[in-house]
Amino acid sequence: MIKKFLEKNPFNLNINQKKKFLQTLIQLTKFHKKNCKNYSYILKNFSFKIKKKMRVEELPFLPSSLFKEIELYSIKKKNIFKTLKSSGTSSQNVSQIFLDKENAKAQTMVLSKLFKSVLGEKRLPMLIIDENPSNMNKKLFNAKMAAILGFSIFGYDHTYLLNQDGRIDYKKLNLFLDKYSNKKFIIFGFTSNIYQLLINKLIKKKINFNFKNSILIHGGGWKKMEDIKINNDKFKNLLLKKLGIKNVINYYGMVEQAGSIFLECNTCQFFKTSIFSDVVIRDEKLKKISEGKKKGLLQVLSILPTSYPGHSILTEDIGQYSKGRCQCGFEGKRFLVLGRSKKSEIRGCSDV
Amino acid sequence: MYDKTENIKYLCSSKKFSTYVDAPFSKLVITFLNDLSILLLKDKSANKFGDILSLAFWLREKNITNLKKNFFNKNQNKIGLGNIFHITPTNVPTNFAYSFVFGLVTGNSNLVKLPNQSFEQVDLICEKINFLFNKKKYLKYKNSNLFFKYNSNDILITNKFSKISDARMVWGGDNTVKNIKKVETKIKVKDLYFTEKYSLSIISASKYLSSKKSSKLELAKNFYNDTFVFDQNACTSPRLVLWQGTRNNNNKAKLIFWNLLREIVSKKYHIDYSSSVEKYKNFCLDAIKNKNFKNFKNFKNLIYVVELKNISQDTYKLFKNFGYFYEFDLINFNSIQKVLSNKTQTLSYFGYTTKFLNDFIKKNKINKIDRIAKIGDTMKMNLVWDGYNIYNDLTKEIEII
Repeated sequence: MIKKFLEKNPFNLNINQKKKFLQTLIQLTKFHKKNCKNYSYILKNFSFKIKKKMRVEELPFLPSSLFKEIELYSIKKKNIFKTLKSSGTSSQNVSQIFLDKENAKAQTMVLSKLFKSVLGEKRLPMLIIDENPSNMNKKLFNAKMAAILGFSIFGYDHTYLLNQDGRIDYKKLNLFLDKYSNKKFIIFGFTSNIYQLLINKLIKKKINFNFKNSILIHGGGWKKMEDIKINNDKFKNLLLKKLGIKNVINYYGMVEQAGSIFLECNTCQFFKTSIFSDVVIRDEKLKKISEGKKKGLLQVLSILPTSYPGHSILTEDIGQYSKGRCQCGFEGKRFLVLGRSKKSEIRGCSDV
Repeated sequence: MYDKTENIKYLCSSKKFSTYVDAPFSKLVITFLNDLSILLLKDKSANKFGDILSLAFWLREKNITNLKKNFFNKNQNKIGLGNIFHITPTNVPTNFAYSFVFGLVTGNSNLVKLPNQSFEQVDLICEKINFLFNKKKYLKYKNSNLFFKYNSNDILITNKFSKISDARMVWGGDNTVKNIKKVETKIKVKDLYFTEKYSLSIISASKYLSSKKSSKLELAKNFYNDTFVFDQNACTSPRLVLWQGTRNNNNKAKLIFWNLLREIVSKKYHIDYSSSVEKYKNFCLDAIKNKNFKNFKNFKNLIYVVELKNISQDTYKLFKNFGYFYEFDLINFNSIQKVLSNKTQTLSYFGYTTKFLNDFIKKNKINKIDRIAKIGDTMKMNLVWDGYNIYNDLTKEIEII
């Protein structure tokens, strides 16, 4: 289904492209209704009718937390090729995303397409601010490992900052920088790891080279950063001050829609939708909020999920649309992620 | 009592604790409660809370005197048991106050464990109580009533308070009760357990349809107060609505009832993001798993109503909150017995006479309902609760032969 999309510029969101996107989502809704029993029960009991023409906010959506409580897939069980798991911050349960080969491949291709728009066609040397996933417990194939492996395809000579004991390997780091620091190279890591390891822990004296030519890509949530009151601006400032890193790209993504992540615009610093994705913002009553208005719950849409009904997901994140247009000329929706909605304390008839 | 190494946070307390017992409904206690009522009603930050207002009205001299009329018998020699340990629930912020008042009005000293999570209402009420305790005339109360918070897992603290208690009022889930039972107590300790229970409503469709428009509106308001004010989390909040009557009448009545409720809820109720998502997720799970799912009405994501194909003693296991209702058509009132279980607490009703309900209970020897109240009165606290006569349970009677 995504073949034709892959030929296009991922950020060229003209009307025609938007129509195609919407049609694909309607098709996906029909497909999952037919092929995923649990999904069809929800649509049926909600009296949901799929119409020929629908606006994006009229499409049905599933709460992301549902994937933690019940198995949802639209393929034969024997065709499950990989199960992505992630533990959310709000619950002890684990999300389960079932992929067949085709869906897994689509994720990789779209991710690559999106990143090439920032990094160029050529693969670059890659420094990963983590430990080698091949040292991690294989049984726990979680979103973290998936992300590291997924992003690895943009690079070569993958070098992991941490050794097996979880310590910064300065020798390896210096070898890497010696080879590549005077050319373009990638640094990849989770936001909180970048902060803890690169900004806080790394001892500059022990490094003989600089990071000026790097492009730093990071994502994976601001929850930990919020707790220590570090926002995106501060984060970027610290990276520039300490290591001279100028080129920093934040991305917003989730295990339910791996692949079609949202990249930060380097002009306005809002996240951009692409031809593969869209967002809708909803109020407390789950009603759509008009663009440019107040903040609300983020619903994310993606044309990638074919093996599971995850093409329209209501997240627990609070977001806000940008106003006006960015100078870069991008025409699609742009938005900010303001953080996780606060979990109200469950009041049960018990003293806990 | 005041070991500083322990993890107890006292909200109202005196330096020395000493047990004080009195006869029930003393003049002093009635004045005290009335003073508390006045303070709560006067405070603007307090009286914006509907539940504090209800408490304040309940504490008025007129109401307490009424309670006295119903329970007090001057020919009996009754006196408080001694120390009452209250383990209060987190679902209704004002519940601790009612539990405390039950203890105080029956002439006892009270050790009140407050909910750990913070509620503005709890702080406000404690502030007023503290203010009154510092008046000379209430010095006895100051020294004999403690309000505190501690982690429920800290069994040593539960132990300490249990050892000196003559009765324990335990509001909580089955686990809370199990843990409390393990603790060493006085030999003759009297435990009252107010465990997790669920409530339902029954409406006579024909009576509803023939009622005036103003009564219909009133009923919607009352139903709102029974449910949405506490996010439908109180044990007394109905989660299942039974419609009794012909199919045709039931359908007509439902339509009017839920739409009137929707109007009130859209104006008054505020739901937060995560509760709203949680409610929607619960709907999805219900749609997938619930074999008795018949149909679904959604009022702007504020009120969810799932009609059931069937009801049974296990129906309570479905129950949810934040404005999530189940409904079911009953042809005969008597079939209500199918849904009653030992988890049933309050049956609230519209369109039946007290005599009819009395006859129903007696004729069918119903022991699986704790209380029956008009819709709107489910939160009216009384000294009879969950099947206990608290007035008798918290006092001792001295017989003179």
